[in-house]
Amino acid sequence: MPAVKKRVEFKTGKTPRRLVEGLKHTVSALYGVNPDKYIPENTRLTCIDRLCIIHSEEACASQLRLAGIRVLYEGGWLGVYTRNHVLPSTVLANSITRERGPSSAIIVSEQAVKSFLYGNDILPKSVIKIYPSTIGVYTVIDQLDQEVIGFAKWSKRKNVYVNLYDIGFFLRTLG
Amino acid sequence: MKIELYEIYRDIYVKPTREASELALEHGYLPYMVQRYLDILGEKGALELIRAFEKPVKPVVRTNTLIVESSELKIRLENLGFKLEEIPWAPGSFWVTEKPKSPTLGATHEYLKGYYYVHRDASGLLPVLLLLHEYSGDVLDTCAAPGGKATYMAQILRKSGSGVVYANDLVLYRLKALIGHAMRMRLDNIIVLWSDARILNKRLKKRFHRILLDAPCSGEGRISVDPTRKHKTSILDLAILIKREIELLASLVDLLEPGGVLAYVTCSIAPEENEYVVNYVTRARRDLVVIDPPTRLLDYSKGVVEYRNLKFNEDLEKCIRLWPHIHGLFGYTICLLSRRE
Repeated sequence: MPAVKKRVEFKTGKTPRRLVEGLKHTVSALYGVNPDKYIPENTRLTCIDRLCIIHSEEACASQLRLAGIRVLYEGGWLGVYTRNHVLPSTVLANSITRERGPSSAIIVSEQAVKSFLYGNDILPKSVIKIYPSTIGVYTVIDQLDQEVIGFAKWSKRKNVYVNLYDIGFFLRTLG
Repeated sequence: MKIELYEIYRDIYVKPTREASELALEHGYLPYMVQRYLDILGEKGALELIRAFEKPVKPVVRTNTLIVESSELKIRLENLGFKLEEIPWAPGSFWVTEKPKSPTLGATHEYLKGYYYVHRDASGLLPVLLLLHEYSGDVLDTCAAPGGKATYMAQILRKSGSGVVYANDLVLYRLKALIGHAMRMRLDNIIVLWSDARILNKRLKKRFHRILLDAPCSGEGRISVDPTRKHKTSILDLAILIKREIELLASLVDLLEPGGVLAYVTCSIAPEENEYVVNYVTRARRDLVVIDPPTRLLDYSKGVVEYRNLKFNEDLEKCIRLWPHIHGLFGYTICLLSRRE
């Protein structure tokens, strides 16, 4: 069979102001922290196909851009823009959760973790502990090691925590 | 530097003997490749090499020691049914000697959480350990995707002090994987560039003390995982690859600081893609010298200095060769080059 060339679309640029503000607002609402402590002034947005990643901007990378070199990614992963939601990265969420303890979070059972990492939603019966959220968005935490594995939104209509994104996307989207 | 394809083709052309042709037919190889094995290793060695290519290699799990202790990762993966054996010369890395039916190494929760990277084979760890031996600072990884070496270097630099990995590649879908690995492994000291490495010297103003050139090659050392390599690369194809390898090396030398080290690496055992390329460039660039590895991590074989009618600079003996039938790894060649002060 002839080899099929895999097409991939990249878009990079400064993160639009509304997305930065959106991310700061979400971080503040989820964790009750000053977002400026965690989100630097200058950030970049890298969209790969339909997934958009917000990451910090590095001074040395800016110099490369000035020299005409295409820089696709740099710095620390801060957030994701997906399904009309601006959400913190699991790295950022882990860091804040470790520092301050869980907030706006659900701790989920091993079986639910497995299903969630395949992109599925979480049933209420799989939730071991709830830390209330004022905005209906929850940080999903693995019971086993207390690691953040993604984000979900409570849906009263469906009676499930709808998967907004999970670290399984490393395989599904970026693998 | 003017590089003529016909000149390379003329240099590397080989007319296989009847013995080589018969052996090639029997094992599914192109005759010129088997002729090469016979010329370098003799009949016994050539047969051992061909047999070694039929054996599976052991994949490697490399712990992301920024997140998890290797001992803890070992316990967690063994609880899932994997059997791991520590690689003595690469701390925190393990050979996977047994695997369960499910999950696969690339789909465990630990993998998704960034606890480790999966290498097809341990050979790729070696150039990183040699290049970064007692070093802290920025590194240019010129053909970096999908990112095994770039993430390893970023991890070592973050752990040992400071330094940023400038990870470049030309192939977009492979860069996507590299970005995924950097995010998954929570590495914030990687800058991902998209460029033809051959023109980086014209664009980049920065100079580096360490450069890794893992050149796109015939992949002849990886026949054990990709048997199509037995008959994929004709001599003309090989000449075209060599031309590109020379262009890459010759241009990237410009980005090396005086006293800096460049690792020229291929997963190929062909002297044409290794010693020939380095010899070609060092002949034209008098400021470039082949240096000894800074440490002896395992019992490597020496570089080839004479091959058929080709005679290379004796310094090329300092290159490192890994042979599947001797070292139980992919066929691999590493030459460390330094630019004179």
